[in-house]
Amino acid sequence: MNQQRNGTTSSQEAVIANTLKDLIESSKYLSQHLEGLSADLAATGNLDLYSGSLTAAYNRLKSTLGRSPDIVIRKLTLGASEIPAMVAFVDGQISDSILDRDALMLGELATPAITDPSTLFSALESHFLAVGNLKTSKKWSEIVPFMMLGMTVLAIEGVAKVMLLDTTKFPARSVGQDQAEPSIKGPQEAFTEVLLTQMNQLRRRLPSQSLRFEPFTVGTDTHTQVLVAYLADVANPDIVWAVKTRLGAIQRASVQTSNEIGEYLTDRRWTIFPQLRLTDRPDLVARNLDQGKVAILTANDPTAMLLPNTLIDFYQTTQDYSTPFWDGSLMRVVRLAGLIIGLYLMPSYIALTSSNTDLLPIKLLLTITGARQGIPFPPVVEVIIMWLIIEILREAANRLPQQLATTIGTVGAVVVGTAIVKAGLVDSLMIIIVTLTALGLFTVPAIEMASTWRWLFWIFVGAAWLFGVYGLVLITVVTVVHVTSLENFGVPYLSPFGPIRISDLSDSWIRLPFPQLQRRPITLRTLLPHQAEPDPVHPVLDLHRAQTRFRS
Amino acid sequence: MRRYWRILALLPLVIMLTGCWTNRPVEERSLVLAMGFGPAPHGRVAVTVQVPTRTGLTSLTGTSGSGGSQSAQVYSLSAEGSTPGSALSRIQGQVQTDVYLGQIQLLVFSRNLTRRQFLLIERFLTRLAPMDKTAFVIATPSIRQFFHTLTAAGQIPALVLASGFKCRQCATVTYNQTQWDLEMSIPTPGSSLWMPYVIPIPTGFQTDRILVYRGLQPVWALSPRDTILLGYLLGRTGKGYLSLTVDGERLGVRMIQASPHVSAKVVNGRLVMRFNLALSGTLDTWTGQTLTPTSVNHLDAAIDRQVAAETLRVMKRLQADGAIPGNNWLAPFIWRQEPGWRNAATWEAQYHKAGLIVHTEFHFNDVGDSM
Repeated sequence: MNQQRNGTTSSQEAVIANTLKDLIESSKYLSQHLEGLSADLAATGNLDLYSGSLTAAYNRLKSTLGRSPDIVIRKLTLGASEIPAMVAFVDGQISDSILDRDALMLGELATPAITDPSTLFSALESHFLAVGNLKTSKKWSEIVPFMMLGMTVLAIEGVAKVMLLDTTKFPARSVGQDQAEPSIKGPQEAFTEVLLTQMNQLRRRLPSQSLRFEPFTVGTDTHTQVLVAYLADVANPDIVWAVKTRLGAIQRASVQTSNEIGEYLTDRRWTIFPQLRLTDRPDLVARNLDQGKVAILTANDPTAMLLPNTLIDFYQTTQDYSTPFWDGSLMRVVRLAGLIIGLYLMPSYIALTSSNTDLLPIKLLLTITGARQGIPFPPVVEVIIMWLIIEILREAANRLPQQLATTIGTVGAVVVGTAIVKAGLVDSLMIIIVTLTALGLFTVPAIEMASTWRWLFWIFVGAAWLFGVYGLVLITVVTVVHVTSLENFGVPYLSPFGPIRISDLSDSWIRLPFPQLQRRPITLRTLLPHQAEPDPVHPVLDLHRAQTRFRS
Repeated sequence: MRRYWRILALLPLVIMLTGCWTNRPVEERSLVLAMGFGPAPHGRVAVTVQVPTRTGLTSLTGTSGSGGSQSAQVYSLSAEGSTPGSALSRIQGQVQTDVYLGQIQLLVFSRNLTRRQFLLIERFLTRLAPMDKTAFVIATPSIRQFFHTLTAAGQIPALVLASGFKCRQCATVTYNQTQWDLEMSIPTPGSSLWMPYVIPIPTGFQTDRILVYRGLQPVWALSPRDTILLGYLLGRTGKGYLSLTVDGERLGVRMIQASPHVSAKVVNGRLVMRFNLALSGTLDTWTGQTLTPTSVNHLDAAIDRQVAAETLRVMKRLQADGAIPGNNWLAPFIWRQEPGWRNAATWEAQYHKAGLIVHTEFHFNDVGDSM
């Protein structure tokens, strides 16, 4: 009993000791912080300004950031006169080689000896070469965020400003193949998470002097770097202005992905139709920039956003332009057919087998009725069962590694499909319809549009069940009216079909040969409407006598 | 806000316009493929419907039915009533599923229906909402026998007959009539009602005759040969056949194509109608001597004479029976002829006492190796 009591007492003492230790530690940091603040306040009269006191700077940085193990704050001396200085950076976010090289350079400043700190500061400012970017600041509200983003802070005793050296080097993956929008032919590479790499990838494809990258910082906590990219001599300035204005107005603590920004930029927030084309493909972004669109690149997210967009933009892929125009056009028509089948096949089946039985040809109706004999559920429940299976399989395949995903697909298609028909829960026709519907809806190249159709699909299914063919027509009309009413940065969403833009039709559901694509999309109202000169007439070559005779 | 009120006001309309209240899966319906009407005692009407069995349905998909191939493909339900509607409601009382009339392929009328019964049925059919007007109509001597006859191949009878009527090149003469034609013929002067006359036989159905009505009363069931001849005159030949005797020898001509032209003229106040019939066909049978160009011409002339005479006989019989050879057949003449005859009733009255001339012109397309 006594032993137990002794044990309890010793653990309570340990807790108290730890609490006291934390309290002392916190008091120490608080006192350090207050010392730093009071030193800067006394010297500058402003808490946000750096006073030039290394001790104050050290105290402020150490007390606010210094508790984290990745924060490195080091005091050193510079030059033969051994002027006190301080370097601070986030370990892991900077390039060691750059810092080491610059440190060597600092040592060379020994002769002739510089005794004045301000002269030393200026000398250093003009000598740093290896760093990508160099800036000075005296505001703590700038110094700390830049340091967090990978810059190295260099402060010299007695100089009331610090040097911010761009030694940023994030751990980043190499440029890889695009997985989300695969292409059989044409470019294959995808963006990475690093903004600089994204810029490089675009520059390589668009080495135009008018290519602009305008930086923005979004997120009060994350300070996420965002770039607005456009071709200054092509893109409509009103669109660029609108994008920049909307981007600048975003007030948010954290921005981790590009979509978080994108949802601030759209004209109609609640519509199920996507207004931003999200892509990981630099070639697609480059092509669209050249057409007069604006791209938004976000740090730490390989997905770029393109705007403004029309419905047809979500059906165009790089591969359409990498293959002969007959192939490209055929692929687009197949996608359209896939959309119609995916959207209407199953709702039509429900409508025609439940409400509007009289519209089916008799032989087809009898075939369907024969197949449905003994099925315990009405068609709409069958659809729900089958589509839930499809969605679960889809999600499972998305979450699993590639090798397992293939297995899941096989299991879903073969085992579940066969078993469910044999069990008599779903008729065999439904399997065909579900398969065609799923394949049809998966032909959409842009994943953001695919989910739109999936939502609409359910609305169609509900309308078909409740109202039959009338419901399908009703929802179609509502959808068309809605899409017609949509605008995206002043660009009609249904263009070039509504309003009709004849020249834009040449690159819509079909693609004409490149010599015929002489104009940029009219709907974007670009500064340079022409992208190509008229096709030159080639001289006729007569290499064989028969050709000459035939032509004459 | 006003916009939302407008949408809200439209909502009941949207819902009430729909057919969602009758929404029922197809397997829970008894799909009526054929509906027959016959006379019943005391002026009542007997209605019979033909519905595919489960075996019949599954046999179409290739999945085996519970009864196998020996089971019946269809079953029939019958009831009598003072009106077709009351008979139909009695039929509905005999089954647990919805008797669905939206897919009727065949409407079968008994030859023995009285004028009053026929009119009652037609008025009922005109108002029968789920049924469209594309169902084929036929006449038959006995409704009971018709609905108890199976086809030789064991297929669903209504489907076999409807498929035959749909195919223009399948029958010798295409005499199909739809409910729409029937509705158009009944109230129209200058039209006569006629229907394919389908007779059940042990191996299926004989479909090579038509039944002609005067008003709503059947007057003449044409023989198969007369039906073909009338078909030539109306331009409804698919692949006709004629068997004749010329100079005591048998002559057969197949694949006959007919191109008719009818003209009307008023001579001394009397209507004279001239039928020019251009015929062509392939020699099929000839038991006489080897053919020469001269003898072929002789055969052509012989066929002309015989076909003209027989066709004239058919037309005169129709005229005597007070029937007109087709739906709206006289309509094209109304605006071309006598200014005083500007209505179909006048033309119909004049047609019944008109002089008829039939002129035929036959030539062989092919006589084979017999020359």
